[in-house]
Amino acid sequence: MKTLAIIAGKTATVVGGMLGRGSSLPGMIARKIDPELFHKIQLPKQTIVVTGTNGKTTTANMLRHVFETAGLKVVQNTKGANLLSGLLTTLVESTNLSGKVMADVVVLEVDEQTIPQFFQAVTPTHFVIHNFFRDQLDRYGEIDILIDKIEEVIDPTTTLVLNADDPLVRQISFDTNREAIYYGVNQTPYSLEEMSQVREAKFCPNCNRKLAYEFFHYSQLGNYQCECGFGKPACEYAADDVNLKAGTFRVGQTTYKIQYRNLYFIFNAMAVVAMAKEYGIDEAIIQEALATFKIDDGRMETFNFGPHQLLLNLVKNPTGLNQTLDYIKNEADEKVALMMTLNNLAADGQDTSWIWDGDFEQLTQFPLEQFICSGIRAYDLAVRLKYAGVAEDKIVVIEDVAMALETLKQTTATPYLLSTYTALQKTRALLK
Amino acid sequence: MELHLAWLYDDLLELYGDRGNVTVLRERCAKRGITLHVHQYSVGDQFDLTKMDMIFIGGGSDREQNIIYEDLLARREDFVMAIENNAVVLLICGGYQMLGQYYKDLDGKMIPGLGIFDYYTESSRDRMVGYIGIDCHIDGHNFQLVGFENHGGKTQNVATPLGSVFAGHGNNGTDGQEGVLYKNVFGTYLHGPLLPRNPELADLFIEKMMRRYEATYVPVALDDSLELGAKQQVIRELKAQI
Repeated sequence: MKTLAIIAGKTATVVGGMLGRGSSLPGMIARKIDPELFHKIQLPKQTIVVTGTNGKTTTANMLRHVFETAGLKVVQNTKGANLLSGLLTTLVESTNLSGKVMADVVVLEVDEQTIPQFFQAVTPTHFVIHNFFRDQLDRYGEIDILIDKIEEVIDPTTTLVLNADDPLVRQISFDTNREAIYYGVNQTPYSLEEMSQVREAKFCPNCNRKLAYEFFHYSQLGNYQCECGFGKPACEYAADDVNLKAGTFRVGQTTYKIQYRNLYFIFNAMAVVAMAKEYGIDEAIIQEALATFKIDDGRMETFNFGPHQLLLNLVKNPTGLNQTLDYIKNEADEKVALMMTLNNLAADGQDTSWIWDGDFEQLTQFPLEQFICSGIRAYDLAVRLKYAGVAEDKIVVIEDVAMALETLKQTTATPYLLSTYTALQKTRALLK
Repeated sequence: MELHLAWLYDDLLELYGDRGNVTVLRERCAKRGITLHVHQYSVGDQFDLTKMDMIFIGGGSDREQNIIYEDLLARREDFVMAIENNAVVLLICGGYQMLGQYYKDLDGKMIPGLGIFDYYTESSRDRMVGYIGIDCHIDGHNFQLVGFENHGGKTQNVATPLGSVFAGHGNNGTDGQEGVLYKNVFGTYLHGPLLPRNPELADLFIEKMMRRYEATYVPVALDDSLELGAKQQVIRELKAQI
């Protein structure tokens, strides 16, 4: 029966490929034939699941790059398939007919809401939890409920690898009284004493008192403590000497260089350093892999755009948006022209209210030439900009993405493009 | 002219971009030469609700609403006095539910409300989620309001609703009514946030606040082409669904 299910799944992969169908079909077919199938798949020495609201795709891709630089064979869900059927498809495709995954290591990026279901089918050796931010509330409900559900499904044999700087992530090892491997970032020149941007976890998840912070990195990430004993734990892997201009940071005795000069990328890199070292990858190889890692999927991706270089970044929640605006502000010396595509299809979250939690007010400090609002909810965005204090003659509404891009191309300023999830691939196709 | 807005429990109840409502009110006041002072008050703070021109309570999760309940109960008398003195009160989702008789959660647990109004709310498994549009007729103003609703609670027995639903669910998904309107108290499930896409309502609040001081005050009209463009995008989507 197991063989039959895997053959059926594999056949569907081939047929699906020929028909140009979506990437989730084979996993669905295999699951129908043998629901127990996924317990029988033989996983390699390490199966790493990465979850979190922001940065999981980049972290998983970087982890794969490190393992491959070390000469290991990696299975990863690269097709953006991070929901249940897509994950199961990835595993079915990677097995031989006796159900053994043909790889040294499996790296799976899993949507945080899919974790409870997915862990019924697959038990990873390592579970990396990166952060929890408010995201798509209409689809997902509230963060507290999500964390409770995740706590319930973690297998005792799975090693937790946690971002120590996020109190909501730390809560998971605290509540369940479990050991964990912690990574984090120590105080940097960019740390803030106060945090005006919207954030979660203002109150201690253990006792409801206000959490005290020595400093913030961004959103609720930082060095937090509570009278009750809850607080940021000591880190096995901590970044020091963070220098965003140079794109460097130090872990222990080793300095790492990266190509993306922003704090959230350093958090991604720290998750990677922690996992690579746990696997036993040589430090020189990690250094080389981090220095050569490039993103090419609409996350901080650059394109030739008329006479310009255009930077495209996915934004889907307030924290990601704020980080992107911070980055542009730090990079921009001369005039900038921004465009953002705001869609609200199911995969984006229907409710666009998250833009009101984004810190668009900082645009008033930008050398802003114009801001083009595009996408299905272009006007929601335009209203947000107006009330953020952006001069109305700088706000341009062009709902059609192709036409908006043509207008952006006319600019003499440095162009930046932010895109919500469902507009991203169309936008990339137009830019190629 | 100076007006005072109390934004209650904003550190606890601030799901769904509630801050957008406050930003819109402040900016639209400023354009009429009015300074709107926004006072952010939370659990345990010293403050006097009866001195406010407007009180705003947003939505939050069950956990946070429980933290707030005791604090709010201790201020019930002031709250009633503010309402009777025609202060404008905007209550969204959780804030709206808390002024009623009770909230019954999915396990059947009763959480008492302030009991200022006769309505009550009972949680149900079928969450009412999506865009909503309602028709309102208030003090000679006729307009449509649009927003996003996301609630498991069904509110019943509302004597004077805010509007009638033309698309979406509203108070309980069955009687076609949405929200509550009593004197200057506006309770609603519409967030999104509410005021950016509904400048008519923002201006009605400003008119009502100012009329506490000037009996014939009417706010001068503003250019709302972007705001109404956003409202029309939602209405187009809603009409396509019906």
